[in-house]
Amino acid sequence: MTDQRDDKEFAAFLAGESELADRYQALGSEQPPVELDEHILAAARDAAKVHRLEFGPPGGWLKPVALAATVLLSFSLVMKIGVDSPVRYEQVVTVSKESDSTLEGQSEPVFYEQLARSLPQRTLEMKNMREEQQSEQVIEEVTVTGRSRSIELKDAPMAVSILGSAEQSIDQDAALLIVAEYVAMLKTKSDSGRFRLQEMERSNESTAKEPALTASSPVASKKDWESIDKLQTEDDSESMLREIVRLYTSGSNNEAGTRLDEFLAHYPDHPVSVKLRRRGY
Amino acid sequence: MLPGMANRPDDKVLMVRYRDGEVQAFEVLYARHKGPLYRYFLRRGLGTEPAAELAQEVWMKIIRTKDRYEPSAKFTTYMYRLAHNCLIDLSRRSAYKITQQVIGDDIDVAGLPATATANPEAEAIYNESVEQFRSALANLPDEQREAFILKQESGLSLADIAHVTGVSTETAKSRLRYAFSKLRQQLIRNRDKA
Repeated sequence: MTDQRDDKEFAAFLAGESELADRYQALGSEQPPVELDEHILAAARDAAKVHRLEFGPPGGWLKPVALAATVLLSFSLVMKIGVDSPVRYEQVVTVSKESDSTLEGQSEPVFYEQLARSLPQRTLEMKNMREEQQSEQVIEEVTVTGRSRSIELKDAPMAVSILGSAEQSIDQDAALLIVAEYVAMLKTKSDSGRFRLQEMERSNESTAKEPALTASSPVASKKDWESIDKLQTEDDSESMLREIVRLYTSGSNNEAGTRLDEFLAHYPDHPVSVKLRRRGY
Repeated sequence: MLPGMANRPDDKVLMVRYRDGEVQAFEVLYARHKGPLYRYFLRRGLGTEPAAELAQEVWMKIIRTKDRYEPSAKFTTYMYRLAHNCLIDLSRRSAYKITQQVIGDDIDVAGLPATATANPEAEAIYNESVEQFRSALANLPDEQREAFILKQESGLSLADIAHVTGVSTETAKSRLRYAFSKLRQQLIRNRDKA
């Protein structure tokens, strides 16, 4: 019975309903000294000031700075991706309709001439490019009478060096045409569809046959490549053309001219011969 | 709930606001708990000066560690846990023994509540009963006294008292129950004497 009463009173005490609580309250409500209050509150204010200096007020500069940092980081990332990506430099040279009509039937020589003549200018532009851009896939696209063909600009210096030799010779037009024809031919034979300097060098050093032809370039029409398709089966004529180009490149213009005459005599129906005759060679 | 409690900001909210740099929140918090904390030390047997020193130590710790404060537990539990540890540290570093005799010395009479009556005889009886209660509290074993003070000063639950003192809830309940029984018996004896 006494235990039950104790439990009841203890439960009341826990609930805050007990005489003991009143007795405890009667002990007094002493407070710390005022000096202590001042000291602690001053310390609290100092600590809050430090917090504000370190972190700023709530909703202050912290959020804008975080946002700015995020934007900056994102921008840098985008820029970095942009720099690392291949840069394509494309220029379209379009021959006017007037030229088109007057040069009907001579569109391919015009095309090659345009291509060959544009190479020095493209080479100059390349010098102004960054090195990493030069190493990337940069395509020079030349459009003649609605048809387009492409050459990698990084291969332009080699072609220009051939032209440079050719321009000093008396057979400048023929040299231009041969070079352009040869560039186009190698372009179609390359697996990647690109004209490569290494390929040219290899072909000059070796008599090995060129790799098998791929399907014609997607930018070339059937008619465009008919003459080149014929060349595929004429390895000897190819070798001769390669040799003529090599001679022009090395500056042996007289010998190149002699070989060119031989070429014309042996292969009168070769597209290059036909084109050269059209130009009055 | 007492009148006005509904609009009273929670201690944890105040502490978080102070952590975020709002010094006014700390002022409210300090005004709310400075007295109970100071009395906790006084009733544990310290004089006014050591009680003030320890109270200062606790508040400074709260201020210094505000950035690490996480409102996972009640603020009072957090504060009294610091106070409990400060008292243990004091007893260790100065061989200070919390004795029953200290309590009641050094009391600021002005801080005592006014007696209920203007009758000098009744006033004397009242004061005597208060002193008897004070003495009975001081004679409690320290663990029981601490449990009782925590309950009375801040209304901590048994679980909170257990957390502050680092014991199980059952142990805390047992201590509080002993304290309650002893004080009540003392009260009855004093009445019988009177």
